[in-house]
Order: sequence, then C-alpha cells, then structure tokens
Amino acid sequence: MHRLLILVVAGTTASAAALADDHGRLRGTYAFTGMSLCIRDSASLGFDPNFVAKGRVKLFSYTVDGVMVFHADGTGTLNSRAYSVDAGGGETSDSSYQFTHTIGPDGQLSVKEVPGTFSDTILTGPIAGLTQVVEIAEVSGSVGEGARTLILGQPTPTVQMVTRSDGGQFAQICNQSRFYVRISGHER
Amino acid sequence: MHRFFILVVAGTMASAAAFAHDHVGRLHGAYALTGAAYCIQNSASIGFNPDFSPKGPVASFSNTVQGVMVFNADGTGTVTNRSFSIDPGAGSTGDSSYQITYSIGADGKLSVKAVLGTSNSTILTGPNAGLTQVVGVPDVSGFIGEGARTIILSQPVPTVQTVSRSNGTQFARICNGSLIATRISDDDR
Repeated sequence: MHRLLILVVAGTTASAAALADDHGRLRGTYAFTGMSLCIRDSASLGFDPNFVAKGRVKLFSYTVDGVMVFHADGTGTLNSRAYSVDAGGGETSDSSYQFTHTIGPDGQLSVKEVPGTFSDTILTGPIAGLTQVVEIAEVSGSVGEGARTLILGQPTPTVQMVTRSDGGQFAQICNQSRFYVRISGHER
Repeated sequence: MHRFFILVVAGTMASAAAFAHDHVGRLHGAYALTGAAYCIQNSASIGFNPDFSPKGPVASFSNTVQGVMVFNADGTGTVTNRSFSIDPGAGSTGDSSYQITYSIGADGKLSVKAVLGTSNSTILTGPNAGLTQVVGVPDVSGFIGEGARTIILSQPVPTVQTVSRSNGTQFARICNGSLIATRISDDDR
C-alpha cells in the first residue's frame, strides 16, 4: 500500500511538473490549420488609421496548414502552406519564418515573427514562381490543458506590407483563426 | 519492487500499444469534424484555366461544415456532414456523405481520398432546397495529433471540383478548406 501511495504521488508530481514545463517554457512540434479573410490594396494607397481602405480593395480568403516548432528557449520555426482563393482564381504558396514566443502571467501565449526571416514562394496559380515577403502580424492565444492544443488569433487589426519579386507592393488587413495540435513533445 | 515492475511494464505496454494502434497505418475510430472553406464557382461549360484562374465571372461563397468521419482499421472510412453555405444571395444547408480511403505515410502524414461514385448530397434549405447534387471531393492531407486524439486536414493543392445537380445544372468550383477532427470514439461505427 505504501509503495502504491509513493507511485501515485510520484505520478501526480511528474504530471504537474510536465504541465508547468509546458506552460512556462512551451516546447514541442505542433501541426496547425486555420483560415483568414483579407482585404488588400496597393501599398501606395493603403489604409487610414481607422483601418479603412483608401482605395478599392481585393477580397480573398486563404486557408493554411503547417508545422510550428516551439523551442524551450523561447524561439521557434514555422513552415506552412497557404491556399488562397479570390475572384481571380486559386493559388498555393509555401512559407517559413522564425519566431519568438512568451507566456504571460495570465497564461496567454504570444508569438512574434523575427523580422527578416520570412520567405514565401508561390507554387500554383497565375503568378506561380514569384516570391514574396509578407509582414507577419503578432498573434496571441491560449494553451490548452497539458499543452496538447493551442489556439491563436490576431487580437487587433494590423496593416501588413507585401513585397513581391516582380516589384508589386501591397497593403493588406487579414483576420485569422488558428488551431494547433501537438504531434510531438520533442522539438524537431 | 515486483509490483512496481509490473506497473511500469504494464504502463509502457499500454502506451506502446496505443501508439502503434493509432499511428502505424491503422487509424481507427469516429471523429467529429468542423471546418470552413471559401469557394469560387462558375458554370461547368466555362470552368477554369490550367493555372486555376476562372475563364469567366465567378460567384463566391463561404461554407462551414460539421459532421462525423469514421476511420476503419482496414484503411477505409466514411464521412457524413452538414454544410452551411453563405453567399451574397442567400444561405443554404446541405447533408452530404461519401466513402473514403486513407493512408499514413512514413512521415506520419495522413492522406484521405474520397471513393469515386460514393458522394451524394441533398440541399435542405435555401433557394435550391430539395435538389440533390454530386460534388467531386478533393484529396486532403494533414497531421495526426498525439494519441490520435485530434486530426488536422486541409487541401494541399488547388483542385477544380465538378458539381452536378438533379435539375441538370453543372458547375465548376475551386475551394480552399481547413478541417479539425476530434476523436469521439475509439470504435469504428
């Protein structure tokens, strides 16, 4: 009986330690998916401080899926594929960037792109072959029990600048919702 | 000490069995799913170019979906779902079902294909209520979460889907999509 009690206590302590480790220093590999709706116009017009477009905008939706690796030192990497659909057709692209992450006292997870690390190649669609750099908006959200799942969204509107390899420059505003599921407790 | 050893071995075996059961090509169980997609559609006689740009004006709409996806251990399965579509003209719902085959790659990625000829859908509400339609279902792929409790699926490449309605109309459409499925039962239903 005594040994069983020790085992139960040891198991409970190990579980609590894992949870604390997951929340204080999130680490592991997470698959994710989500959807965004965006409005975009030329960078020369852009948006006013109330996020109202100064010119005619193009509306498009994109879905995204990929893998996000959180390292215990607060850094990480993201690789994803986006599938965009608008009145002009459908296109896919592959992106990657590095990020930093923190967990606040309230348990909220915040993720920021490391500036200058973003790269994206358009794979299919009318402008396949172009590359582009997109400013990534900061996202925040919640860590699920045991850090098995994460939910991230964009808390405030952000005007993102897009620069394409053909010289095109755009300003865009996108909402977003992302769901992450841990596929490994290890950093890959 | 002996009891401790039994407990550790039993725990390890249970864990290993669950992992093999869930990941090594033998995913099985019932999963509730939800997701969203955004689509453009035009007449099948117009359609899309090879670069997935439309050959004529398109209608756009958003749809959400919820349902149940059953994975059998033999690599087959079924999907039944209800979709709710919104466009500038109206909202409509429809019930769909189809059979699937699936495989899990060496990298752990899950691939799901609809079995040709098994898709059927009935429009329940909206201007076309009562019609039935057959929609080409694109291949999807994704990831299996730890313990196979959650699955994420999406469409990796654009696909032109054909839609044939019981009133004779035919459409071509392109949709993106994002799906999340959470296990609700270990049993095949």
